[in-house]
Amino acid sequence: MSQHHPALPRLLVRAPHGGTRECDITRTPFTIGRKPDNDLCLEDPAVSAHHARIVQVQAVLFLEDLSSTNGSFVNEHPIERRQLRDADALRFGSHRVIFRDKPGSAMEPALAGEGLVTDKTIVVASTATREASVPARKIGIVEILSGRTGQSHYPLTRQVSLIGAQDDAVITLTGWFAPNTAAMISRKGDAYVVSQTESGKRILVNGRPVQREHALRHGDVVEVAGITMRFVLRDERSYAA
Amino acid sequence: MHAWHLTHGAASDIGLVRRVNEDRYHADPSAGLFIVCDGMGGHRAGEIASSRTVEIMPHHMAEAETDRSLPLIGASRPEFSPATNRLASAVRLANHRVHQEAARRTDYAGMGTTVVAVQLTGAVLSIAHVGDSRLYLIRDGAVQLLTVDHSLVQEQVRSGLLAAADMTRVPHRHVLTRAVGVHPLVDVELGEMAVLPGDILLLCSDGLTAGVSADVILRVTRESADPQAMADRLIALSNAAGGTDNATVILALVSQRPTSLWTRMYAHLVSPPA
Repeated sequence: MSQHHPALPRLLVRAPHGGTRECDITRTPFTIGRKPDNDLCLEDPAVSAHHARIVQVQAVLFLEDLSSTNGSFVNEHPIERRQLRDADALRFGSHRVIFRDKPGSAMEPALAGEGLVTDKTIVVASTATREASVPARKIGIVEILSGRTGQSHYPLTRQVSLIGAQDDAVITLTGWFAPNTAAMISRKGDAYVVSQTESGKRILVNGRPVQREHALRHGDVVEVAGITMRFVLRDERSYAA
Repeated sequence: MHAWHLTHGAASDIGLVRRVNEDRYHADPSAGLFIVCDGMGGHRAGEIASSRTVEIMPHHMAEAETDRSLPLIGASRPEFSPATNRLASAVRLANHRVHQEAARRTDYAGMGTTVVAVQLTGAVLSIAHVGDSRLYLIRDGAVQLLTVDHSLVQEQVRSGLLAAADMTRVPHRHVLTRAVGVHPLVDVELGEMAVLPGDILLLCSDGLTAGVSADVILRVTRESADPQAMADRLIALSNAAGGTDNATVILALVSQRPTSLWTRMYAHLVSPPA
């Protein structure tokens, strides 16, 4: 990204009792605080010694609060880190600051998005909400009907569950010549797929041999390496309860 | 009884427009580890970020191989295998180091890189990615994308603001929502799946997919059996489509080789069943 700006981004600083000044963001990180060693010094008891700073990530400027006592605000929202956009209203203590991205060309809206018309890659904060509130997922459970295994049933919470004698196998086989991995069950969202491994062990689903891999359905009976098990799907939350 | 075997081909090209190739890759079939990084940042910082990442990650993986007690960087996620958690740890370590280096030198400020990495452990493939470099799986004559880009356009497609067909055209297609080295902490997306013999894994930077569609990828993998020939052909097609960006591709073919009775006995003696 080119480091020279045709017009530097600028802060318009308004003190609580009138008085306005302009301050170009000539370098980043650009520090803001009460102490005189800051790039923008605000004489305000409500401003921390080192209150906030503006950092540059490619073409984009971010405001970061430096754990200040009274917080930093963008458009009256308290922020820890926020991308700055032209005409954002910032507040530190009782000082109000307007951010102008390209003071010279701000009157020409056609140019406003020009920074993005580029083949250079930049990074912005994700606007997507975290997928934490995904409703009721299904979880697969394997019930052992016959054969030598460690437990009577196994919830398939792992992305890939191994069936075999291997240390990290989910369904552990305890037979003397049990293969390290006899079969694998992979989770793809709410779906589960059983697949063959390098052991070459034959897998039967409902009595039919599986070629390579097979999508499991609720109630399927799977036979491999001398064990017979039933695959069922349950609501994840009811199972956890 | 069989053992998993990987053959691979890889190619990286500056393209026809850029003056620097900021892509880097690492391919080690014996360790089962493959990585593609697409760096970004002013001057030469982009290639610093991607070079560092393809050095740091294999080193961390090898270190963990010899020292089982090597601490994980970041929290371990129980739904994934130790190998997958280790791969995530390697990405987080690279993020930390790149970010620190960027903080120390003003000419490196803001540098970062994408990463897509796979590690094959037995039949389990561990997948880690950050940014818009991709992993495709070619299986049974079909190609599927296994990673979801961490990009603004991908988010817009998901929320219905943008049609998928317009993703490669809009001006803000190079805006990422995650990258390695840009922030002190990185959110690494993880995946895991079981491989099958005959699978082809394809890792690439966005420069390849800018000019080469998934259908073309599928066609190229059908035309040859040699992964290096496939990689070279894909790069040639990327440049023929304009070569607007650096393009990097790794193809890894998964196969099985029969193991001898002695090897199997030995394996049982060295790691007896629990």
